[in-house]
Amino acid sequence: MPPSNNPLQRYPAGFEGLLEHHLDGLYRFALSLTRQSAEAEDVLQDSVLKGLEAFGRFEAGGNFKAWIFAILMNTFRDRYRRLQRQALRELPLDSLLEAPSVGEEVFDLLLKEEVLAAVEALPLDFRLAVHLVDLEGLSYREAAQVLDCPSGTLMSRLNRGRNLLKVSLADLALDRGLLAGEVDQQGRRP
Amino acid sequence: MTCADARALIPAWVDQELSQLDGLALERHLSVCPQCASEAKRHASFVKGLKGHLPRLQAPADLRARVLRGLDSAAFPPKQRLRPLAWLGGGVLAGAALVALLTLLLPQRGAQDAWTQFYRDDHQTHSQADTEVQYRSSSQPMVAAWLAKNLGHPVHVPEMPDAQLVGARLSVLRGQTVALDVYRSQGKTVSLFVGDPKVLCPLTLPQDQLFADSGSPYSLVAWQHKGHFHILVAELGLEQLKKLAHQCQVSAI
Repeated sequence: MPPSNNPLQRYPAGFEGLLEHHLDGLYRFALSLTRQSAEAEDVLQDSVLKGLEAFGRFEAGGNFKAWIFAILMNTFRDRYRRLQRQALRELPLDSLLEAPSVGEEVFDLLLKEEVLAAVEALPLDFRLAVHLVDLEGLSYREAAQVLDCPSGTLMSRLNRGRNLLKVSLADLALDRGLLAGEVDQQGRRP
Repeated sequence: MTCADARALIPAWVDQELSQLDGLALERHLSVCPQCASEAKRHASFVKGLKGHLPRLQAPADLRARVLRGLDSAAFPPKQRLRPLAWLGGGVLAGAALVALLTLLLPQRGAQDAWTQFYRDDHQTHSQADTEVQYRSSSQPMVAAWLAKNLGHPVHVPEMPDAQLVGARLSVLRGQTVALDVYRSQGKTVSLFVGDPKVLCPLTLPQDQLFADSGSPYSLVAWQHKGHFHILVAELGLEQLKKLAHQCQVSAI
């Protein structure tokens, strides 16, 4: 079914209503970008005002979530250009990281805070791809729009981020003796 | 399909992002390759676990309140003040009628200072861009139908002898969708905002009493008619805008 062209059917409460629906996600994303709650709040508030100013140009039937997340991403870029360049230099060069074959069971062995810490330890571009797709539920295309990159690049960052997570979470569980070593070794790809 | 090809496609397949064609090809491979099938199952399990175990923090309540308050002040920004000189300059054009209006509305001046700016900004943003209208038509019934379809209620689209209907668009003020009829007069874009007085303006105006505000370069005229607030904005002289407002009022009778 094609998207409705009626903004009131899709957006019954206008900008404020739409924004309220995504505030938590925007806050999480700002926190993932800045890693500091005070900075995240500033980025979020700046983004909201930019969104309000630009909302007249937002096309009815468009994807508000991807649109407002992209505004937040651009706001962050404007504020932290220097930091972003540093983060980009940190990217590992191995595009085909060998990752252990880890399944859902590893999450049952770890605390949610430990999983979050592992995600936060990812290089920025990988972290953002994982955050947008796995936490906020954006499609590849939507996440690529937010990060202003091709879908193929988004896929690559997402896979590399997930593979790094498999490594770090499996290692963490192994260190704790929560995951049997032989299971991990057998599970690794040849 | 080789195992290497299959391994490359598994993540997108798990995320349901693979094309139907590639998906069918991968599934055929998985049905005959237990190693790749096992890898696909493990990866799907990992992604499911990751999605389920990432904590979903909520924005703090005070931040939420501050953001929503910020929307209100952004819609009626207190920093936008009409300069006294602008009023005097407009007075040269508008003459005694405007002075009388200023006198009439003077007690409410504090509220006036901010509320007109939104309409000038919105008009300026769109009249100079390709977003001038969302629906382009010179047919009054067609424009009225488009607005009614999008807003769920009828919107007045007046006919003005001195302005040519161009189309319509929607804008957002304080979280409320506002309708605009867009015209062309003397080569300039004319925006006519129509809506609920409680949303459009903090002032209470007597029925059909004109509020006029000359500005550089955009003048603004507002009035209330039959429960609807109307605001005309254009890069035209105040007298021309008041003439168009009168034509709107006649059209609405």
